[in-house]
Amino acid sequence: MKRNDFLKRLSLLGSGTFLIPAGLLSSCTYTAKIRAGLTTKDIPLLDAIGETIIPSTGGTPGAKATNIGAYMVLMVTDCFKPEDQQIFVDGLNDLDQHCATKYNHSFLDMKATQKLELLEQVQLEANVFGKEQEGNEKSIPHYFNLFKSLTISGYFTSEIGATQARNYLPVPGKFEACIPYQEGDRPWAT
Amino acid sequence: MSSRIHSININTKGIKENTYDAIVIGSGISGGWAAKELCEKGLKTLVLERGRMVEHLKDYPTANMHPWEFQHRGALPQKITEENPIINRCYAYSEATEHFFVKDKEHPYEQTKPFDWIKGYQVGGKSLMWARWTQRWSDLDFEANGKEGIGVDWPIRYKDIAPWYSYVEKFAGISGNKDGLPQIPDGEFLPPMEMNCLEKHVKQVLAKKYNDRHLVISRTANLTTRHKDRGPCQYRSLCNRGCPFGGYFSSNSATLPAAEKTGNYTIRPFSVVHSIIYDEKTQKASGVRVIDTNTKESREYFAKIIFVNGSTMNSTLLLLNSTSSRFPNGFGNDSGELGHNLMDHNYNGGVRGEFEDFTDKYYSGRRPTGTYMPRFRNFGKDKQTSFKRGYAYACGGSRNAGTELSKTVIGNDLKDNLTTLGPWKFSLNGMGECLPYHENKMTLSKDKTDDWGIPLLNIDAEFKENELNMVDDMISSGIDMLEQANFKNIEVIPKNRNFGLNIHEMGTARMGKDPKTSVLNGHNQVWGAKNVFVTDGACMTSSACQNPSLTYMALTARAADYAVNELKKRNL
Repeated sequence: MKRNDFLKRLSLLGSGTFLIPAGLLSSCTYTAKIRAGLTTKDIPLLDAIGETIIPSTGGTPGAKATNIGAYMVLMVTDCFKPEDQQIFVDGLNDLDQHCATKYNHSFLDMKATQKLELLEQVQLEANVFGKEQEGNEKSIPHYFNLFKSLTISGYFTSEIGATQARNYLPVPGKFEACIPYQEGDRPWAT
Repeated sequence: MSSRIHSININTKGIKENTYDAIVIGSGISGGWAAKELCEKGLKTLVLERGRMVEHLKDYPTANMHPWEFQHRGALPQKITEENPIINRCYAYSEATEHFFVKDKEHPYEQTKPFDWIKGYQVGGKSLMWARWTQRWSDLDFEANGKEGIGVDWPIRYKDIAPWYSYVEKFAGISGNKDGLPQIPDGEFLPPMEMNCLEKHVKQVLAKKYNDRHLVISRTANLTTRHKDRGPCQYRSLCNRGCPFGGYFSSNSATLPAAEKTGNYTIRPFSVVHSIIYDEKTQKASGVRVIDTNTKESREYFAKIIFVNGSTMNSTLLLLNSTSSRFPNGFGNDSGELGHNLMDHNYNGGVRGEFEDFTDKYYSGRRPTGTYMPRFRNFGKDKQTSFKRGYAYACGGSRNAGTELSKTVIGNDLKDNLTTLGPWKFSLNGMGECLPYHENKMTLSKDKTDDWGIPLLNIDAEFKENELNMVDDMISSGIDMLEQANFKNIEVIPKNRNFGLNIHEMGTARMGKDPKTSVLNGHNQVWGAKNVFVTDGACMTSSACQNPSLTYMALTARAADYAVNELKKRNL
C-alpha cells in the first residue's frame, strides 16, 4: 500500500485524522524481510507465531510463555535436515511477504485477530498442500506444519505445557489400570 | 565396584598375578549371570568388559531429568543422527539414552546385506536398555528343529531348562500372571501388572470369537513388589535411562552387585578380548589375550574356565579370531558352522485401530510393559501352508491427547483439542520366528581391522520366504482380530526394519548333539575345548518367537552350575 493511498483511506475515517504522529505513519509501510537463514533475531516473530498457534487462554499460558521462539530456532538449527531448514526459512520469508502485501504490517505489529486470520489461511493452504501430496513416496512438509509441529512439541514438553496444560506425574509410584475420565480432565503429559 | 578395577597402565605381570579361577567375557545380561553364579560358587572370577564402568545409580545421568531439562527435549541433533544412521533407527536411542549406545563409527562392520547392529559397550551392556519382556520357551520351540528337520535338533528340552528358568526368575524378579498356556509356560512370578479396560475388553472378545487367541500381560523384568533390596517399580517407564529405584533387572542393579558381595569378583573395564589361548597339551583354553582399549596394551589372563558372554556377534567374532593349529578356522569350529545360522526376529508386520467406546475411562501411571499374544500359528490344531513356526504379538491399548482435528486447526481449537483425550487405540505388532539358515552368516573381514587390531565383522543375512510370508499373516490376522472386536480406522503400521534391528540377533555358535554339525554341546561347552562355555545369544539353535534374554539367563546359570560341578570332579 502506498503512503498516499493510506492517507486517503485514513481521511475516509473522518474526524481529526491528522493528529497521528509521523513515526507511526512511516511504520505502516512495511517491507518484507528476506532472511538467508534463521537467527535469534527471529525469536520475537516466532514467539508471536507460536502464541497464535497455541494461545494463552483463561487458565493456562500460551506458547510464548514457554520461549517457543528460542526453542524453534534451536531445533531448526540443530535438529532439522538442511532441506527442512530451507523450507522453514523460506516459509518465514513468505509469511512476512504475506503480511506486507495483505496487512502492510509486520506479523508482530498485527492485531491478534489478524494474526489468527492469516495463520488460519496458511493452515488451509497447508491442508491442501498435504492432500496434494498424499500417496507420494516422499512428501515435502509445508512450512506452516513445521512451525506448528515445533510449537506443539515445544509447548507440551515445556514445564508450563506439561504441568499446566497437561498433567505431569514425574514419579507415579503406582499403576491404576482403569480410572474414570471426565470431559475437562487433562491428559497425562508423558 | 571401582575399588577392584585394575589400573589401566600396569605392565605385564607374572602369570600368577593374572590367574583366576574363571574368566567371564562380557558383563551384559548373560555375563552378569555368569559372574554372579561363578563368584557365589566360590570361584575367583575376572569379568572382562570392553566398555567403560557404569555403576548402578551413580552413572545414570539422565534418570531423573524432566522432559524440559533436555536441550532438544529428547531429540538428537542432525549432526549426530547423520553420523549414526544405524543406531538412529533403534527405537530406544534418544537424547536421554545416547550415552549407552556405541556410535556407528566407533566399531564399524561390513554389511554384505543390510544389517543393523545395535551395540552397548559398557559394564551392564544392553541389559541397561533392554525391553525386559521375559516369556519362557516351551517344547514347541525346543522340539521344532528336530521334528521338522531344520537346522539341527536342540540338545536340550524344556525339562532341562525349566528349573533354571525358575532359578533366574526368582532372583531377577519377573512380574506376570499364571495364564496356563503351554506355549509360554508359567514361571515364578511377582504379581502381574494390570491390563487397562480396552485390553481387558479385547482379551474377552478374542476369547469369545476364537479359541486360540490369548491376550495376557507380558511377563516382564520390572518389580511389582520390593524384591531383594530392589524396586519396586515406580511406573515412570523411563527404564532405559537406568532406574534410580532399581525397578527393573539389569546386570548393574542385580547380578554384578551380587557377584561383588562374594569377595570373589574382579571387573576390568576397557578390556576387549582379542582371542582365546588354546593349549595343545591339555586340549583346553588356558586364558585370553586382552587389549586395553585406551592404551592398546596387550595382556594375558589365565583361568580354569572361560565363559564367553560378549553378545552374539562379538562372542562369535572372538571365536573366529581365536585360531591355532588345532582350530585353524576359529575356536571350536570343527563343524564349519561357526558364524553361520544367524537369526533375528522379524517385526515387520503390525496393525492398529481406534475404539469408540470407553470414552469415560483412562489410566494412571506409566506401565513399563504391554500385553502379549503368544503364538497360535502351527500350534494345536492350526496348520499353515505358507510358513513354518509362528509369531507372537506385542499388543497394547492406550489413549493419547488430541484427535485428527488437531492436524487442521490452530488457536483455541487446537489447544482445546490437544488438552483433551482422543480415542482409545490398540496395536498388534508381530514378532516372528526366523529359521536358522546356514547361509545367513558372519565372517571376518579379509582386510579391515578395528582400532584394536581385531578384524571387522562382515555380516551377510536376510529374511527369506518363510519370514516374509509370516509377515503377511501377521497383518491379515491382526486386521481380522481388530475387525472382530469392532475397531474403526484400522490400518497397517508401516515398518521395514532391517535384519538386526530387533536386537534379537542370535545363533552363529549353535548348541547341538553332534560336534560335526554344531559348535556347543548341551551344556554350552565348546566341542573340542571343554573348559570354554558360550551362553549368550550365540548359542541358540533356533530363535522361537519369544524375547530371548530370559533363556540366555537360564542357560547361563545352568552352564555355570555344570561347569563348577565338573571342575570339582576334576573333569575340567
